[in-house]
Amino acid sequence: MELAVLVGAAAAGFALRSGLIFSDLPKLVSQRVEFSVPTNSWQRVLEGSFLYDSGVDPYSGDIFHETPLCLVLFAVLKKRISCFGIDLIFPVLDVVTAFLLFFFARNLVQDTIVSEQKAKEKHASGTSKLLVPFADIVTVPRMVLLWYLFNPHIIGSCLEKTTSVFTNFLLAAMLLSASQGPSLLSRLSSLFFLALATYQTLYMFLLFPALHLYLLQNAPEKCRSSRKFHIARLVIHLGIFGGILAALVIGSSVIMGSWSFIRGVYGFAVFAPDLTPNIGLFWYFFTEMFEQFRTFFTWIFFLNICIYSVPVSIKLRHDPPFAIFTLLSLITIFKPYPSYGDVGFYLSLFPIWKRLYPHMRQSLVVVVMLLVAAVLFPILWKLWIEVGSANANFFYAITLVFVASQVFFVTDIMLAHEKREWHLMNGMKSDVDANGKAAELLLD
Amino acid sequence: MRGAFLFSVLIGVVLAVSASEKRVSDTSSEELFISPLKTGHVYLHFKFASSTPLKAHYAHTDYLPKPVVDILEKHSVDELHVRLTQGVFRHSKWGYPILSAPTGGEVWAWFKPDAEGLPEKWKGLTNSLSGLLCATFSKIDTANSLSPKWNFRPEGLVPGGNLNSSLSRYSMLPGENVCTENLTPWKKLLPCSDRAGLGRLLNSIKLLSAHYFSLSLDVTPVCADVACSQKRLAIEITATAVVAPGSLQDTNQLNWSIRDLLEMDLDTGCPLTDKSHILVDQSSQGQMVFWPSSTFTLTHSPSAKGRIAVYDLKHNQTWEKSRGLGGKSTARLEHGTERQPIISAHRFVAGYGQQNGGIRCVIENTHPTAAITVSYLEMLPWFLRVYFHTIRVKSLVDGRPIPLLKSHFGPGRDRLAPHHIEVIFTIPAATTVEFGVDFDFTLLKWTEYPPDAHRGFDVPPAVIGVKLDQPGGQCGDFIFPAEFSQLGGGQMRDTATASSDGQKRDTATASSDGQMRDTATASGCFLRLYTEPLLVSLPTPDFSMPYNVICMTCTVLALAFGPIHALTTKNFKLIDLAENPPLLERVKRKGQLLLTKFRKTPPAVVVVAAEEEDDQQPDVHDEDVKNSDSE
Repeated sequence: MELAVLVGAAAAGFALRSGLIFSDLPKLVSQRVEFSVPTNSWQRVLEGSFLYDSGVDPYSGDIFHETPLCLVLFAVLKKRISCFGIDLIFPVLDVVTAFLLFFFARNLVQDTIVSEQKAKEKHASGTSKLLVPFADIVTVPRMVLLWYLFNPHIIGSCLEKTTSVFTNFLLAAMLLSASQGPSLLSRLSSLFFLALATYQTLYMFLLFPALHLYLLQNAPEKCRSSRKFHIARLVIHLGIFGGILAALVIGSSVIMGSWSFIRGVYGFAVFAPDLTPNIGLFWYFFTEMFEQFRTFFTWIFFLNICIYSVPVSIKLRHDPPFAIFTLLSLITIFKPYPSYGDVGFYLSLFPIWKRLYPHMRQSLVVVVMLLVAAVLFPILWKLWIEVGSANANFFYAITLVFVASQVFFVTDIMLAHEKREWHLMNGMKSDVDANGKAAELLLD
Repeated sequence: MRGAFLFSVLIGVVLAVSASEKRVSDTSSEELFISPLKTGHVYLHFKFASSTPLKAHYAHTDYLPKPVVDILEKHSVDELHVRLTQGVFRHSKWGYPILSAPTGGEVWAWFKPDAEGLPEKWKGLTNSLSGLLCATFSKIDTANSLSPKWNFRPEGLVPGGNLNSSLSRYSMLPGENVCTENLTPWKKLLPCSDRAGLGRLLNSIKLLSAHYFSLSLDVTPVCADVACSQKRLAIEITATAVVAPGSLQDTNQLNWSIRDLLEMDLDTGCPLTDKSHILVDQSSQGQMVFWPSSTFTLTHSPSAKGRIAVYDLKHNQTWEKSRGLGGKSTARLEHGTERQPIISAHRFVAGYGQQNGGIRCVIENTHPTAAITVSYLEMLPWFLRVYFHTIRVKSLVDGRPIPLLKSHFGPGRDRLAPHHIEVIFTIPAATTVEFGVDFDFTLLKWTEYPPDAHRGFDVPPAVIGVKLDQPGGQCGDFIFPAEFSQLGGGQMRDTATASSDGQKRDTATASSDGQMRDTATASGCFLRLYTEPLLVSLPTPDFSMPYNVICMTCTVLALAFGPIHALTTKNFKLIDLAENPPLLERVKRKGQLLLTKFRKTPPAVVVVAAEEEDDQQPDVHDEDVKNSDSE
């Protein structure tokens, strides 16, 4: 029965995507600003590949920002399989990603239930209803799978053939292999996928602290108290991650015969020189920036993305998968070229933490803002760019709404997570303190 | 007194002797070619040519403009071509001009192979030209210049023998406005300025109100003869105008005269020049009468249609005081009849909206039997994100793709380099083909928009180079007999007529100097066409918003940073409500306090109660202060 549901869902998801990708829909909505950004646009991959084939360094221009490996991969694919085959890769990869996330969710829910049951005696009395129910082992992975397969953000991203599909695949593979247990293979493979994802999208290196903690979590109990063990593991993980990343970068320079891709891929990700509108914060800010402050704010924005990585990982050290989830959403919110593909990915993981939902206070606001943004993005875009009756401020306003809604979502779910932890340890009552006086649960 | 007189006599004798000496080093000539067009316009082409033996350093020049020579020397330039043009030359109505030029400004230079620091030399050259011609050539930088691969090859000798295209630089300024301030310094480069000879006819008001007006300056090293026994530096300064006589509307007949067109009277030639000719195209002899009769007439042998009257200003050409030089059509003008140029091109912006668009250039080959190979150059500004993989050339007759024989792509860089497309393809006989490329628009920084941001941005014209298989090596509609180039003997280029000019130069030098030339052979001619410049409108930001945007975006950042900072640095705790009342409660209490303070003195009955309240409130207030202090 379970299998039938999964296979049915996968088939439906695949059929939906491949049906739409070969229909006229992608032509109608091609290069939607919500899905296609300079760092993931398929049009730009084609351009880079064309330049590469014509013997021009694709990074000598300002259009191509994919990595050299992606370029080579595409060149090989183009030679081996037809256009039709390349179009099919995207739906296939999306379905595979959905299954990776499905297994990740199952592992994670299992682990959570096991650890919560173990720590039951430490919990305050009357908190058993807060615990993750056993039924979640079945329902949560299924929700993740379905939500990924039928999430409009992800489907649109697949139809636009954005390279976010690849990034999402790498991230899902990283998550799954990290959740596989303490074996060397799982550690190696998860670090490998993180290195690949970082190579592909620079900001993913920010997930390293959280992933490191996640990999430690599965280590044997007795080792975890030793300081030496921690240092050794950190060095090993950093070494593996750095080594693979360095190998990828050096390999790319060998393939390309020059280092020009560093500017084209990573320089571009940091300095965000392309001001084409997207759903993020950068484009209008740097369009309207006073020239003398440009450098200052470029670095401030870069720091703003990076600054959350370590504190969030430390704060959520007892729940590193949640830290990864939080950091993923923060990176998506604050990176220069976010797209619906990235947003859809972290939103698809949300069912795993559906236990936090009762503790969230702004879910209605967030949902309404997300919906408003989803409806108004295309309308205001059309009014500004095509009809010419609105101006840039309209579209900018809606990006602010969209970003704010995501910010509310992240801060709300983090608060909910902390609140739940508190309740687990201190009981369900939060309106009176130990002495029976009226009190309130606050951050202090 | 007597001494002074003797001295001045002596000076006079010396001057007379030196003046009588025949100068052999520099030559100079001036020509005006006039052709009445079927559309009722008159085509005027002034050419002032001079040359001097090629040297490494010029301490002195007789007729050549010294500033130009100095600029060449300073920036190690071998060959230089400058055009300043107002308007578009309508090929379908007026045929091909003697000298093609794009709308706006154009500079292209070929540097000496030993020139070091080419980018600085190019910058220096354009800045010098900017000063020389009062044009905004100083706007030329790497972002709007490139090194053409096939379209712009040296037109004269290449002393160094190095034909590597990296030695050339090319730029167009489609937004350049040509005005009196360009014409005035340009006239100063002429041997007689505008004081004598044909230069006098250059009336700014008349020329600049013409339908088409183009100024040019060409410097090329050339051979003095077929054997190339002497190398010379030739400077050609030309002005082209298509003028409509004022009387056209009234009579529907073309009735023109120099006096009417330029409001100037003819005079003798410039005394410094060796030759001073006016050539009038009398091909339309049947439908037009010309006056006065010329010294002699040239007839183009193959078609016998071409007939050119030559007036020699040096040899006592006299003009009737009342009529001067002119012509009058005997029949009514047939409007709507168009010439059928062998090859013509029009370019358009495709698409709507400001997200993405494209460029479509329709090129028509009207030749019934011959396929024509064209070399197509696009220099697209960096702010259009051009996708080279979308470049395609297809036949509009049957929709089939036309293969590219050769292609060169130079991707643009933001604020640094334009997109460079150069493709060579063959247009089948009697076929129209379409060149297409797609691009995305970008948003610029708010300070990069011009004050009239919504006017749009200029895209320079495309350049089409064609080698036509025309006999005599002349592409122009104004066919000149081959023997005319030998007229007056001596140097080929100087005599070279108004007409064959750019086209002729290729064939002439290819055969004479032995240098290899990609584009032209003795049997063909090289024709260069420019399409219309385009105007594209980019999306614009709101220019009044910088402060608001910075504030609002930073607010959203703070919305995330604040709570996450709090979450990562603080823990949940139960806070006693009595000791630490919530913010809302505190605000409420403060508000009540203020209300009671500002309330008017109530009636006596209530006074007691109010006093009681007053007694209580300060306590609460104190408590509040304490609380907020403790926090």
